Amino acid sequence: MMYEFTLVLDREPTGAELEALAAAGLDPVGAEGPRPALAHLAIDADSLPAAIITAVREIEWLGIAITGVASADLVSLKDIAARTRRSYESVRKLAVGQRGPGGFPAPLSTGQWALYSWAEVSAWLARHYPATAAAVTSYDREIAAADHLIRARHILPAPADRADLAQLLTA
Amino acid sequence: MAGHGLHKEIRKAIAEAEQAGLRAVTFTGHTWGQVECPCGQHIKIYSTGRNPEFGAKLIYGFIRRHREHGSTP
Repeated sequence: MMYEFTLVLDREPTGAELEALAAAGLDPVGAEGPRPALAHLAIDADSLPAAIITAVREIEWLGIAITGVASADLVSLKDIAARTRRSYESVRKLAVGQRGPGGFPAPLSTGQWALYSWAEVSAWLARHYPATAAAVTSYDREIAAADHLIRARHILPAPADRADLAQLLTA
Repeated sequence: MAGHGLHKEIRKAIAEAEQAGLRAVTFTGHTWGQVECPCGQHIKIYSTGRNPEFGAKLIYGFIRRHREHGSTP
């Protein structure tokens, strides 16, 4: 199956590096930069993790670090309002529990700008407001989770540290 | 810009990018060209004939994220 996804890189590949990727059979469809530097890929593989691992290995072999998987999962209340066609005020009241059943997913960020996981919010909406919940596919959820894992991998460069933390996934 | 030899979906996406005030530049060789935003960000699309629809989708995504930066054509 063909898996389409976008990796976040620590820098843009040079023309020679892109040629090297193409020679290795990894032909990015597109690349974006300078900041963020993104590689847009379509890879034929047995699974999404297998496709991402192939891309990570080939790109990091060039000395370019992969820092994440681009995902549209991180959303503001304004984004949620737009995606669900509700007013901002209605979504804000749901989020703070002034309206609706309560239990709205907590923001992932703290501070002035609250950002939420669309995978979490849409699952909550599907439970309580099925008519207005926009569909989030399992592919979107996998991409969002893969982003967290790739970020964790980037934060922990030592393989032993990565292996230790990987236990959390199946705890 | 010239669109000779490009898949029709890519040509349509380029036309929309230009209408949004973004600049399209063609190259020779492996990269067909890039779409540039006045904010400094660009997207390069490679001349792979295998998946032109994905290439067009990437350009539309770039337009959506940079439309507000585009200068009036």
